[in-house]
Amino acid sequence: MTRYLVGRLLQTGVLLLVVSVVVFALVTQAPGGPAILLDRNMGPAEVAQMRALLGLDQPLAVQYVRWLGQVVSGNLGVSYQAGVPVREIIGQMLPNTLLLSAAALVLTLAVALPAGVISAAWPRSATDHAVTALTLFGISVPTFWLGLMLIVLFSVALGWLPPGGMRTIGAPPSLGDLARHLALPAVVLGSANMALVARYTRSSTLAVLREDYVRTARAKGVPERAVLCRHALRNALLTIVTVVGLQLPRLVGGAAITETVFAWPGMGSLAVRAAFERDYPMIMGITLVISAAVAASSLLVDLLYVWIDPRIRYD
Amino acid sequence: MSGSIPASATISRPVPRGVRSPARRTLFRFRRNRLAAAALVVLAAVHVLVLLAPWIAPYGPEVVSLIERLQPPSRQHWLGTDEYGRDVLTRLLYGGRVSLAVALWSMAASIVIGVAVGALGGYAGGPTDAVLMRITDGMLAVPLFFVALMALATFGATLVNLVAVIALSSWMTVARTVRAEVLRNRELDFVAAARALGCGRWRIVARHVVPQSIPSVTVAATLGVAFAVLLESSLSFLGLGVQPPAASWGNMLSGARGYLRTAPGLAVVPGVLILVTVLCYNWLGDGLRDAIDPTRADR
Repeated sequence: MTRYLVGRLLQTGVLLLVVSVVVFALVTQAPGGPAILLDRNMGPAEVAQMRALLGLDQPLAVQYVRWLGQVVSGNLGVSYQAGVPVREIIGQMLPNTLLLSAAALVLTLAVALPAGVISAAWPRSATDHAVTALTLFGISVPTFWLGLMLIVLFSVALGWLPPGGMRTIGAPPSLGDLARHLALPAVVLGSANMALVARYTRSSTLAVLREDYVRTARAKGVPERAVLCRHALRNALLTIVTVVGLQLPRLVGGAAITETVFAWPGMGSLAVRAAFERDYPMIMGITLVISAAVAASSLLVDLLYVWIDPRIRYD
Repeated sequence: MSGSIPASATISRPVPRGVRSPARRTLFRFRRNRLAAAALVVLAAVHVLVLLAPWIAPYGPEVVSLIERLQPPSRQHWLGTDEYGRDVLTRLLYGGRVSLAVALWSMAASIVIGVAVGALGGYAGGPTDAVLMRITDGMLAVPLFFVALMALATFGATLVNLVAVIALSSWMTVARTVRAEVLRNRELDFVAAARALGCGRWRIVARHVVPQSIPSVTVAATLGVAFAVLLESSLSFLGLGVQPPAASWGNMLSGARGYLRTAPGLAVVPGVLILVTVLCYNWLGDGLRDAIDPTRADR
């Protein structure tokens, strides 16, 4: 187990290194450089001075190694645009994104697992057809458009929920207010995953229900409910966890879009802005943190296997 | 002619009764799937309309008319006008050309990369395979949407860059599918026979092994178009897709975003078109998969 963990951590380290090199090589190719150098009020001399100040006059390899050196000592550099340490900005935004993603994930599981199991328990029933149709819809609908439509419906037409942001400006911070702001983005971010997870829950539960041990359980007189929840779902979970794990990198992309639609102050909208402003330290910091978070979650998924299926051991 | 040919119809065609090639059986199963067939019809209609845009569109795609801005649907403008007074129907048709072209080209490119990587890895095996699969798995583990975003913001959102970015972030599933097929097929008797007849290594791969995976690649390609349409529209929505004033379904939605209160209809129509197109491609892909492999567990 320890050997496995060490191996995985090493792999993750290599992956992060490769990703950071690729992203660094990519963003520094931008014609014109960071947006901060494009200020019309600065003459050529001032621009050159600014470049020297930011270290942009050095060869790319030197710039990268400098950045890496900073990272190793726990420093992500200073944002060009905001003039504030990147670590501070990310520290403010990351919890918001984690909150949004967690809410979306909980929502996904709470809807998709029962839907998939019910659908598999009564295949070709009306419920099954409804679930199948809904999942196809969920997979096919563009996230941002779903967000826009929900805003039109719930904020503009009905006025029930706020169209964006994280809290009402001027109101005292409260849990209820936060929940009202969280509702629409969480549904939108969860929608595609909900559909996928429901689909895979259905097919893997269907497969498990044909197994001999399910027949044995039924023959022993175990109530159908227990057969479904304890025998079928538990064994189907393995596939489901794999699907959720594979979707994690995509969830991040979804977060970028959802946060932009709902003006949610998180890593996604931060990244979109940093990309436009070509704020190198910001971009690199976000890339690193997000890739690490995704890698950590997929490690967690692999460890979950052991808990779900005692036959699996990592030696 | 439907798949269930009446007995009398076979007289004119000397096909021996009861003999059906696997391809015909697949076609038969596909035709019986009404949903997939309907999806194919809808997709054909969408593609033809969009292709004919320059001839059937009532206006020019970039004809601005500020006195006619944000009009509701009328006889002159069937779907109304947008924030610059441009005809929405016209822009939908022209935008569809762009969106679908990007999706189809990037699908084609991702198939080429995926088949090459999968076939090479699967047939060569050993270290080549190990390296290629590591790269594939690594790509799958990275939040690619992010890297795509950075790349487009850096190199500019031109059509070619858009196609490249979408293709580079979607070839991995194809590579894995093809590799699995190649691994399975390369040990079969007909491959051994080809080898015994003195076929060269790469000729065997190209002529005997890879063609076996055409059915599953077709399915992957169909689902890939759906994915590409969604990705293109998301990138356009963030301002990293096709640049205005040229229209695409994604950037029309991006423009409509500022008028959710005054003209919500502007945001509805392009979205519905994207939804219908993606839905049909998904249906088609599922239908093809079921037709090719009727033994799948979740039927």
